[in-house]
Amino acid sequence: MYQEEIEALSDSMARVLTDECDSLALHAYMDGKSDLDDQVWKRASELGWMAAALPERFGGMNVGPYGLEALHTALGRRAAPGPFVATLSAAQWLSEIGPEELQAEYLPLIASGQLKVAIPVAVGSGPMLSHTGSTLSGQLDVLGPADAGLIIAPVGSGQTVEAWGLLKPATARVTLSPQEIWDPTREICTLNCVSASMIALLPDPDGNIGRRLQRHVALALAADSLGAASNISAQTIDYLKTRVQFGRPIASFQAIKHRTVDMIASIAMQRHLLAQGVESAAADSPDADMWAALAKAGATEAFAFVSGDCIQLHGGVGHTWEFDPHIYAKRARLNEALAADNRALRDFAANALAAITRQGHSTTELGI
Amino acid sequence: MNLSYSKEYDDYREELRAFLAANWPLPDSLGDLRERTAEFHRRAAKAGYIFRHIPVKYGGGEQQLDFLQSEIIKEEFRRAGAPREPEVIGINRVIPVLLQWGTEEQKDFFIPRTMSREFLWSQGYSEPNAGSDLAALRTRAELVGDKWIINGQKVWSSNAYKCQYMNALVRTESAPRHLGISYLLIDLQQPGIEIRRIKQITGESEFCEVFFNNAETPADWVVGGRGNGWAVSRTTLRHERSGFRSVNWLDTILRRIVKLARETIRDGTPAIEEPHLRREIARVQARLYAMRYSTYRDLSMEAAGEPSGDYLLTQKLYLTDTIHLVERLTRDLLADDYLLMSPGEGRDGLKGNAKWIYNSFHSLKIAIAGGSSNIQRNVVGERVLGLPRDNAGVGGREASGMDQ
Ligand SMILES: Cc1cc2nc3c(=O)[nH]c(=O)nc-3n(C[C@H](O)[C@H](O)[C@H](O)COP(=O)(O)OP(=O)(O)OC[C@H]3O[C@@H](n4cnc5c(N)ncnc54)[C@H](O)[C@@H]3O)c2cc1C
Repeated sequence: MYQEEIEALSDSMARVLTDECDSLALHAYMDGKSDLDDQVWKRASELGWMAAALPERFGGMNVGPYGLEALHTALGRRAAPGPFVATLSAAQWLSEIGPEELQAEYLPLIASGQLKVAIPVAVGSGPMLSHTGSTLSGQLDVLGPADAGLIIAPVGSGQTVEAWGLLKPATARVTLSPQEIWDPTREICTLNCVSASMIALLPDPDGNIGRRLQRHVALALAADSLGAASNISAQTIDYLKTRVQFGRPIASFQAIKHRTVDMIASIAMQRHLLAQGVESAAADSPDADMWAALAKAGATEAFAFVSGDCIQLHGGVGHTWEFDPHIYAKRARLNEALAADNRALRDFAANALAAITRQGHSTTELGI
Repeated sequence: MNLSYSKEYDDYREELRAFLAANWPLPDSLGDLRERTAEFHRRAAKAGYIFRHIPVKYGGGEQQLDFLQSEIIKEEFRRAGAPREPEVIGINRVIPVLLQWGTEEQKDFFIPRTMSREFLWSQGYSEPNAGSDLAALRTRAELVGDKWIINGQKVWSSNAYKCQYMNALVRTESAPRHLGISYLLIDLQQPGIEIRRIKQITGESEFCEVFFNNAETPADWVVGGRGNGWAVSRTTLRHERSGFRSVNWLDTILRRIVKLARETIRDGTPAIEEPHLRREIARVQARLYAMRYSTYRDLSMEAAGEPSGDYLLTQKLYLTDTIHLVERLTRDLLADDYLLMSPGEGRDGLKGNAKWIYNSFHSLKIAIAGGSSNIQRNVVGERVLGLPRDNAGVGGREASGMDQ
């Protein structure tokens, strides 16, 4: 289904990003000499990437999780800057759970690139806003830019999320202050709400809404990680073929060959896990959250391992700002920490698995 | 190997406490903190508490190798908050080389000034095309009259921009590879030398490119003789503190991790109560003890004239793995906080948890700086295990420590 559309989309994204978001452009951006994030965002909107996953009635191509996977993989490959993970995950989430009028108001804005969204850095845990009367108060860190036009935040008391609040940073009662972070390609802000009025409050008594947001963020991070890992490992392998020590390319040493193969193997395994996650999310099957959690934990860890090893394999130059590996290593570590702690995600998956088997299904039936 | 403290050591500790009580802190009238520290170090060296392996005639403490004394000194200095023996490349690397190979003039001139940190050193070994394959280095020096004229380029020279001197490996002979190399001391602050700082992944710029364009150094600043640089650069530093430097450093890090784990509250409980974290902390602690006691044994055996085995050669590999475990542990511990740290401009601008993140990125260098892990594996494989030689082993840059 939509196979051709997705392939065409992938190709166009790879082409555009290879041209416009190459290593030189990325370094210029990191050194404060360009607004690459805005340029990529603008191109993505013009070319319809922002809309692709959404249902046709909101201007989309309805390619859903498959399209998002392709998009995040392409963006990850180039370590593209911009608030894509937060915005696109939020859009997909809203398209699945949102009340009709919220969808009608916000999805077309996202599809056309006019609206950026911020979501909590920790989706399943962490600080929440509190609810008094018709207003929200509190503080938490969100993934997204300071100019986000829509903020999604958990609302509750104690340790339990009771609802999800939608806010607009229009007044002094809702502020986003940018934080400095290691990964130069993403933005994190501290959200501060003081008796802020909200756009909507979506009750989440059994946690389904929150899990769904986590599902989409997890898949986005996994795809981003695998695209990025395969690119930085390919770049590193090219370097190893040209770097000569002891009179021969260092790629000819077995110790180096084995390490490159270990990198590729770790990426390949995670691809299959992600494919499973995407397929179950597209089918909205009951085990979708579990696969997404496993895919995020596995892919981000593989990415952190691969990008760290790329630094080592480069030797001294790998420790310089000028070369690419550190950009990826920093993105990897952010990806690992976002959404939820990987150990917590694996615990969650283990519990989900136990629940499924308790219902009398065998583990081989999973994902069918 | 007896590690318990006997009466003799209790007395030693008492004397040391009395010394510290009388000498630290020193009164403000003796100058600013730097001057007071220098004065304290002079007194401590004279009393035999620091620079213990350096002869008295160069301003050292000149003491017998004694781990228990060395442990007691470490403990008591820490208790008193007294400044420990400085850890800089000149003291850790250049002084041992000079002690073993230097001429009387070289020792007299350089050792006291290096100890007082009047002279700071940058190590100039690596070049763009000679990293792991160090013997391929091409920077040349030619003897013209009473001077060496130096041309070429070094890279990754840590701190070169703020050092007065460089201990360099340069090609002086026509013999191939490592046979043609000499160990030269060079004044970095001269017109024939240009230094460019290189920005690192941590945002700071501590390592440098150093260009030599007819730079000069006196003919008698070659150490250990012409063409002997390879052997000189491999001088191993065998004294009671040398093997413990990394262990002590890890020990400090571990203490901080435990403190951080106590202070970090997650889901209402201190992180230190999480079984996973406790296990990892214990694992690091166990590795630390293993390293500490292996070092004791290794150095004691050597002091007793017994063959000490292969510990020194494998230590850096084990240390590298341990540091990576520590790094992983900090990431687990900081969790979300990990995201939010300001990159700053290197370590100095950082506060609180941000220092951890800095350390975490910084720790990536350990497997490369001072000789890469792979090359070290080749060395162990060939020298210790007697595995068949690969050409790539000859002239490889052997790990000589981790204090860059
Ligand atoms: C933070 C830092 C500080 C430093 N400070 C100094 C300093 O003060 N002075 C100084 O002289 N140098 C310094 N160095 C340089 C350091 O010694 C070299 O980077 C190191 O020896 C590796 O050389 P290279 O960078 O050329 O990498 P390469 O030799 O190109 O190695 C690249 C990769 O290939 C691997 N490799 C190479 N040969 C083989 C082989 N035969 N078999 C298997 N694998 C192999 C290496 O392990 C590495 O992973 C510093 C480096 C760093 C990162």
